[in-house]
Amino acid sequence: MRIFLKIIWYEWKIQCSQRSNWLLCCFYLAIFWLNFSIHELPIHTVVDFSTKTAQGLGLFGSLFTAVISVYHFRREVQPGFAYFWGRLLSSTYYPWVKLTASILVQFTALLPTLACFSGLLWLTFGAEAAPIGLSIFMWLITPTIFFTLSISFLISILVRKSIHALFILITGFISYFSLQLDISQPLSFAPYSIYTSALIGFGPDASFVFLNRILYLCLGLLVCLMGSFLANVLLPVCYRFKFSRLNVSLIIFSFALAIGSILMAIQYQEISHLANSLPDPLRHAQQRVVCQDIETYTAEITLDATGRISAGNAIIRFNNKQARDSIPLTLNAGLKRMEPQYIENGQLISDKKSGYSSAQEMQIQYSGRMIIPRYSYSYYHQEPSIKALGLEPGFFANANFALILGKGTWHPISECAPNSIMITIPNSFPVVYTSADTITSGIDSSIYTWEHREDGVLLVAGNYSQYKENNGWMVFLPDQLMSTDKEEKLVNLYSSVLDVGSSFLSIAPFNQGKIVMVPLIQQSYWQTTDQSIFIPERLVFASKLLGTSNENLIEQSLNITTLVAQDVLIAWWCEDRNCPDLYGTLIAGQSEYSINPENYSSAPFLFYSALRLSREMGQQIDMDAVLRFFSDAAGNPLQMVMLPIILPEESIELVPRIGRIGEDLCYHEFGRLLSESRELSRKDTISFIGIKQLANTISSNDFLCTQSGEP
Amino acid sequence: MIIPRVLENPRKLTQLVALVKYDLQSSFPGVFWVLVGYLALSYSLITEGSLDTVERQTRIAFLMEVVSPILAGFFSNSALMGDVVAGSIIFSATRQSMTKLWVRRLITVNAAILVELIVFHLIIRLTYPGIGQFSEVFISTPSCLLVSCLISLFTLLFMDMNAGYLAGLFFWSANFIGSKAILSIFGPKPYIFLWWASLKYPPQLEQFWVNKALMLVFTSLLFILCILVLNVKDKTLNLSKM
Repeated sequence: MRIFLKIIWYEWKIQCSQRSNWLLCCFYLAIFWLNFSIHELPIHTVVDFSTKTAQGLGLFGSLFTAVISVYHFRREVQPGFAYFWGRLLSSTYYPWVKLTASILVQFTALLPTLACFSGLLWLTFGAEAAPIGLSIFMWLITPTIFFTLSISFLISILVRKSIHALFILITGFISYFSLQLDISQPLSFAPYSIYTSALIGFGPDASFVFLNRILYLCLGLLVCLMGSFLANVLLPVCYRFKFSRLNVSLIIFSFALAIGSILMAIQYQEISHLANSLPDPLRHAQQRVVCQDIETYTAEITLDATGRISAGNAIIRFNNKQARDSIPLTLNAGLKRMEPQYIENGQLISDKKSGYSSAQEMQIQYSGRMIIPRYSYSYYHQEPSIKALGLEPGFFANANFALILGKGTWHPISECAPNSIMITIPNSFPVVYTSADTITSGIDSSIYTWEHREDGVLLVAGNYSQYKENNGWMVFLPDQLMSTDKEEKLVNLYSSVLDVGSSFLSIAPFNQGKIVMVPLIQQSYWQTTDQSIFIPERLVFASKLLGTSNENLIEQSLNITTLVAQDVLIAWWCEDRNCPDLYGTLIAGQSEYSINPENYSSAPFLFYSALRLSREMGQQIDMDAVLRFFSDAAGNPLQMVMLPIILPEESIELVPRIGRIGEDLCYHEFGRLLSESRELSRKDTISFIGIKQLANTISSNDFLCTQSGEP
Repeated sequence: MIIPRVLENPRKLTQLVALVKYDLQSSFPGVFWVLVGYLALSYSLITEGSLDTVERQTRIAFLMEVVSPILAGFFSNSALMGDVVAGSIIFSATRQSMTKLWVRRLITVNAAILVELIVFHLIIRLTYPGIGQFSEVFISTPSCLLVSCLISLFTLLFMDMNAGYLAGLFFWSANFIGSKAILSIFGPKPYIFLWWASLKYPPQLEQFWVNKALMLVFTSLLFILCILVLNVKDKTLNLSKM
């Protein structure tokens, strides 16, 4: 073993002395610095930054590794190395020495990059971020480098000339990159970085990442073993392969590895298929109609310590008016359910067919690990009907975190919130928020029960390292979300907007409200009953925290405070409903989510309200100029594209009209107008005329303004 | 100068063909089969039935403008270094300077790529008469020359073929894999795959000839640098005067 290590040491020294390795070092550094914007680093999480770095270096590094390694693998196969091959040790350990030394050389070349990477993490997120980032980076990049080296090794053994081997490798890698740039596929080098979270790491993608990396390690090892057997045959070794006990066990191990890799690839494909499949919005729509026919609906689940649903039970009783043939079930694809006689092809069939009386209870038992489909948390463009489903599973749980919403595919009729819910959760989950009516604590687990219909957030449990009080709000943030100053700025903004907003909207004061940052959700939810707001971890306007100076007057108005005000107002307006069109258009600035016709008036109303709220908070907003800009843009396509938000023409012309109404109302009057409009929008689509009539009614009671002055 | 003389004397033409063949063979053994394979693969890729006209044009641009430079770079890297690695450069260098040898082989390799592009273009015209213009062949040539010169420069500076491959691949992959980022940072003028990019991300065609002219300037600069480096090496070896 000592001699083996000594040979590796010499091989490492020989490889490192090549001048091209210094160039490799520089290119790794160049890729690292080109891969991210240092200006935006403070608003990225450690996981995100590490993943992106590993992804960039893995993608380019695999090409470089292929180039560098071929020459080293074939160095001793040139004429003049007869003495080398005549020695037992050289020929026996040749493949393993070469591979180990090549891996070490790659990491040596990566050292300056790793130093810069750790240094940046240290400076931006603190000392504890560096080991976390490094471990993620190493976990992602090691299989990539190992796999590339093993493939290079195999090709070098098979192809006699270095230049031909190199040509085959480079064309192979280039063809792969050219034809398959989607690097999340099984034959890939790094997982996506867009689904990472400071709180749940790779979250729903964790199983993909794990399988992907292990698969590549196994494949790399398998290719190495193949290479070492072939080396024994094709290289000029003097001691050929013999069927010794060790070699036989290596052959058996290789077969086991091959079978294991195939099984892993199949499992990866299965999960990938389920996670990437699209929902059927029609089934959800059909369910929504059925909700009124349900008399009682009870959902009970028990979570184990890993976040798996170990037992689930749904009991449904329809009222006697129920006369439907079938009701589609939308239980998550990862959950396995028992098939009682009243379930057929994923549908709950009527009593006529099953012979069940509508008065009888129907029970569905299920268990398994939820598979969170990508469309439910992806920020990519989706069909509006799919986007409207929001976080469709309404559930995410792993060993460290749990999030459960009232509506979701964790129970079979996901669109109808159950009347009664019972969730049993191990005590290892630190619950930071629950809306449960009763909590029964046991030795190992606690039972949370809800005795009324609950649509919003039921429970959030997680290792929130940051627990602090800010302006009377309890704030729960994940650790290393962004740099400390940016975190503080964000928390201050939310607590201030919520404070002013609560008074503006006359929301009854609560003992102590909560601001909880939650992964996977795409819009904020404000539960006014207990003054808790759940904000998405991936804030689409986080870049505004960097405070870039905008010359444009309109962009100045739409600053971070206004955006937070918009977020809070939309969360309050929609409460537990999903409003992807409002959120996408007003906050994310996305054009593809065209506003639903029922929101043609509410979108400009909320936009103006956010500006008003922002102004009340002391922001310098030239309201006249903003309203004039919108007024001029209406009917002028050239000016329309310059607007900070993309609205339909009907809504653009409503902004100045609503603005004029709003400017005539004092602070409290406008707050009341907003509250009453919201109540109205719950019953029917709100229109500009409706807003105007409400404003007239409110302004006639002018005691509101005299009662208390402006804040 | 050489070409009229060659045309006057058919024997010299035969000698020239033999020399070109030898130079190509010494740059990359089996170059002919690689080019034939490339043409066959390209043909199968562009005749794929599911493609519409724009997709087919984009694929043609990809094969001609993006893939050809890396082939040219790969072949020209070993044009001189093949002899250096094999230890036979002393023999060549005593008869003519390394600079001349490198220039001749570089031109030969790029001429071969040009011929291959012309053949590819003719195949496209025969298969899809409505697609492609002859000028497209020459649109790809500056990219091929640029990548060839860049790879050669790094190889000659470090006297290590891997250094050239690394530099070439870094430059090529940054422009191809990171196309969007490069275009957004540096704009379309210095972008080396503008024809392909203009089909993929439509807006920049008006910059086309500025881009190609700039690339030729860069190529000339690299070419001169390579010659300077080779002259230094020649003087160090003091072989060309022997």
